[in-house]
Amino acid sequence: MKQTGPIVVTFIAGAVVLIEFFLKIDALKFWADTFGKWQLVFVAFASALGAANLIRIHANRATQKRSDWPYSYLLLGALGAWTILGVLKGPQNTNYDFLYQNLLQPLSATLFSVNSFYIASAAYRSFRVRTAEAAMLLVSAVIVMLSNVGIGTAIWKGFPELGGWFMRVPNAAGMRGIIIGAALGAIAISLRVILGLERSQYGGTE
Amino acid sequence: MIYEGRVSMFVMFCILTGLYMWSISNARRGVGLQTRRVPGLDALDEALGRAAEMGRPVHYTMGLQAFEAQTFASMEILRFAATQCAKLDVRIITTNYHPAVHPIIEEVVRGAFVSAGRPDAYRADDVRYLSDNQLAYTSGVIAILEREKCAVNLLFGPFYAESLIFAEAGYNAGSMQIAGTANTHQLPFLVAACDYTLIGEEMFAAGAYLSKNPVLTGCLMGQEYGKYIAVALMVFGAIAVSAGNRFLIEILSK
Repeated sequence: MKQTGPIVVTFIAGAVVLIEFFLKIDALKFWADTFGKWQLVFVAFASALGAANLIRIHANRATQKRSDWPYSYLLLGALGAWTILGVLKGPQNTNYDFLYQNLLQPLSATLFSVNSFYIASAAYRSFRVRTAEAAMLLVSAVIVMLSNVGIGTAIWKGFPELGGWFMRVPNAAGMRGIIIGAALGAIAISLRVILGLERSQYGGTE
Repeated sequence: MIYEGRVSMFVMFCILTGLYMWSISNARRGVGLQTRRVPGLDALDEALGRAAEMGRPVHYTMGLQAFEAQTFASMEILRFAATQCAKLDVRIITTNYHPAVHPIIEEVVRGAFVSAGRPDAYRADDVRYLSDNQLAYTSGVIAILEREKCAVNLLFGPFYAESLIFAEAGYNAGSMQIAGTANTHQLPFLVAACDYTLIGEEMFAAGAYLSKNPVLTGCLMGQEYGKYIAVALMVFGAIAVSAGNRFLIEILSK
């Protein structure tokens, strides 16, 4: 019974949006657009739930002085300061923008740049030649890498063409096979959700 | 009536829907489907057992995006992992990017603990919303993997630039890692850095594989028939185009 309401709502919203994608019916278009707007409202409410979860966990940790509790104070302080500044002055405010440009952006860029080092360490582990597949991976990866850097062309002029062939033919063929399989899986799971056959997202006991 | 350019899509959708429904009814009648072994899913039990032996928690995250097919597929795996964790008395820390998905994840994990007969073992603080900023969420996951020294790192869902950072952070924390995504541009990173990776459709098959539910198994059968149609169209199309006939291209672009 607890699941009946969500299943009915999911069916109506999902069926309307799905049918509207294919069929040109004005009434369906109106409702599909309306459901899209309602979704934004729901997500806004959900943001409050997310913030409540963050505050509860970190307030407990800070007050009970659990491990790394000073970071919880830092998080709560930052959350409070940004929220107050954003609500009172708006996101276009100079101070708000200063914090965004000089705190969040550099931190994000730093974390993102870590990827380059992680690519090297992950590549080192997976390219160690232990099996025939790993050897093939190593050879093809070296060719593709050399095809993308100037030194590759300096060593042998054919590297760009060979690397391009690896990307265009075996790589594209494999990727397209994966995409077709995944698309069929996505259609199946979406249908199950709309028809109420997929219920894991409603929680509760099985 | 049908939007221009979507007629062939509509026809294919109707055919696939019919096949899925037929396959589900077959599966409900007990017409069995033999599924091949999926090493990544077989390794789940081993990984969770490892966490129980080590007395360390399991970390689960489902990447970016709110409600998309991969998220729903991931919830089936989360339900299984949480149920096993409850039975083995292992902590499962679930981190989350999107606030709209957060209450659903809470419900899935709580339901799994109740199903396992261990509602008392459910810890609300272990289902954590981190941030809807991609890199803030990423740094939160890294911190949890490092501080909690998670024995197992499970990554299933739509991942983007953060996938390799998660996998390498898990490796540095000494976690056994199982991942799965249908985002082809992130698959090479996960394959390179994780112990097991579910590739594309394997993740959508996980629910059927783990639960043996006839509806899910039937859908899997429908997916197989869909693949036969796709392969037939590709072979026929390649031959036709090679022979200079563009009939199939024109039909499919309608």
